[in-house]
Amino acid sequence: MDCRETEKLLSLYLDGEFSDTEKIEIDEHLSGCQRCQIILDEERELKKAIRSIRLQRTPVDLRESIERSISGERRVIAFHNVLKLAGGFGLVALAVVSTAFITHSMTGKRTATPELCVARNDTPAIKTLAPAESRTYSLHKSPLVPVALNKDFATGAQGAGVALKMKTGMRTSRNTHRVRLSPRMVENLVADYLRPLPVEFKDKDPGSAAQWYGGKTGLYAPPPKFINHGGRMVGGRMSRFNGGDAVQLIYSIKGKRVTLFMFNPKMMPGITHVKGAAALTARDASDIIMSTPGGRVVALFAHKGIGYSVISDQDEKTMFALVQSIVRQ
Amino acid sequence: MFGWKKDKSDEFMKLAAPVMDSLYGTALKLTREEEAARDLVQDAYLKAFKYFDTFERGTNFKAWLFRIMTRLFYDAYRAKRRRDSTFMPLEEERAPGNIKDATAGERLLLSKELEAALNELPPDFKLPLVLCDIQEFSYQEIAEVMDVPIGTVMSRLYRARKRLREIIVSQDQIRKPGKSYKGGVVIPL
Repeated sequence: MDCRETEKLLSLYLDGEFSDTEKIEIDEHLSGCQRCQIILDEERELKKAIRSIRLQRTPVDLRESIERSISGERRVIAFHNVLKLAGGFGLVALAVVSTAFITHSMTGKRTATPELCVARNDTPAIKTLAPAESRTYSLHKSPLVPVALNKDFATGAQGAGVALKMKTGMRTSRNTHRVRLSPRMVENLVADYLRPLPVEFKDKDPGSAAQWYGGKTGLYAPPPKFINHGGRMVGGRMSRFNGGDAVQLIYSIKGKRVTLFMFNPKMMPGITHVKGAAALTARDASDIIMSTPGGRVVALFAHKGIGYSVISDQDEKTMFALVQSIVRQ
Repeated sequence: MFGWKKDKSDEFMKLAAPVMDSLYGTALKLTREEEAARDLVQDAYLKAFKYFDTFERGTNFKAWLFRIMTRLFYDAYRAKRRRDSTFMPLEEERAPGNIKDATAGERLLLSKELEAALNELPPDFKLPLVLCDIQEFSYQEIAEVMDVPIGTVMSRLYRARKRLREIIVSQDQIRKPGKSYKGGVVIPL
């Protein structure tokens, strides 16, 4: 074995990936060749140095997010299985919930706390909803203060599958309107947020972004900058939202990605229209902000004729602040 | 009725949780961007859980999870490369450096510089090095993770180390000798 052959095998030799025959041949060559011995020593040092590189540990919030996602995914899988197994049972159960909800609304009784409930499909699990997943928020208290789970809805939702409901204006059934988001739609929103889709627009200047999507959609409203939240624009692309064109803008805020969809609010009948920042603070934040079982937070609202959907791993408080900054601009 | 689903996610997380740091660290080395690494790891976990039923119990879960992440990475990488022609090729070819120069004298190398040199490697070279030297995967496991023949793993490792030495040497030529450094591992080269 000559130096050239030996040199090629030194990596294997150091990694312990050699046959006995090769080892004997390499050892034999090394004992008589100082040059190859030096190369081996250097290779060994290099390997040792690479091994000493400490890889960064998983950020705690990412670990938690993944764990939540896995448990959320479990529920989604369960949901599909339930539908498969039970056939029409899911529809019947949904009808029960709708009836319960309509009855609840028709009472004309002022409800102290408008609520956003995230209910789950797997009937046995609904009894053990974790507090974090079953929040409702007080209307007149400071936003995003968790209060008790709405028991009527929880009872009615048993066996109904994933159901998200939003209510605004709680005085009578007449001025109560609601948006029923299908699990599939929320799933799609979150999927679009998660997918590393290519960006068509890479300029980080929001002003240029407005020109870019304005020419494509006729939507000339400037995009939010989120500067006060330490945000920066990463890029944008054209997307689809509930069957219509939408602009998808991607931001990075505090190291986390935030996806913003801007669209024609007519695509989403019943969407909550926010008049201004003052109205927003008086309004229950749960009208527009919801947590998904996967651990993401989705905000959905309209302002000045534009529909907005913000999706992120950010906490609800930050998401509310982002919504405020959109409304304030 | 639903007990098995909880069992499934419990079983998955029992296997997957201890691997997360390794996976994230490698993802960060590959992508070099925290945000991209976070997405990659999250997507890998969701995909792995989705296809957990296909995982053959008793085989190497860590390698299986790494394989899923590697495929996701390459899919995104190739898509990005198609969009951006200036993107670094998978196996970037450079003029070979003079290896004899590298072995001519003793050089000092800080761990930070080694990391910088490692970051300069294209993914096809960086990944086998990280898997072999940091994650301590066998060649066979690396071949499975990267979906390439074992001979390719050998040649990539050889070329990766050679390239790494060349980069370090070029760094060394820029750096003035005799300068004192605080911290870091001192490696004779």
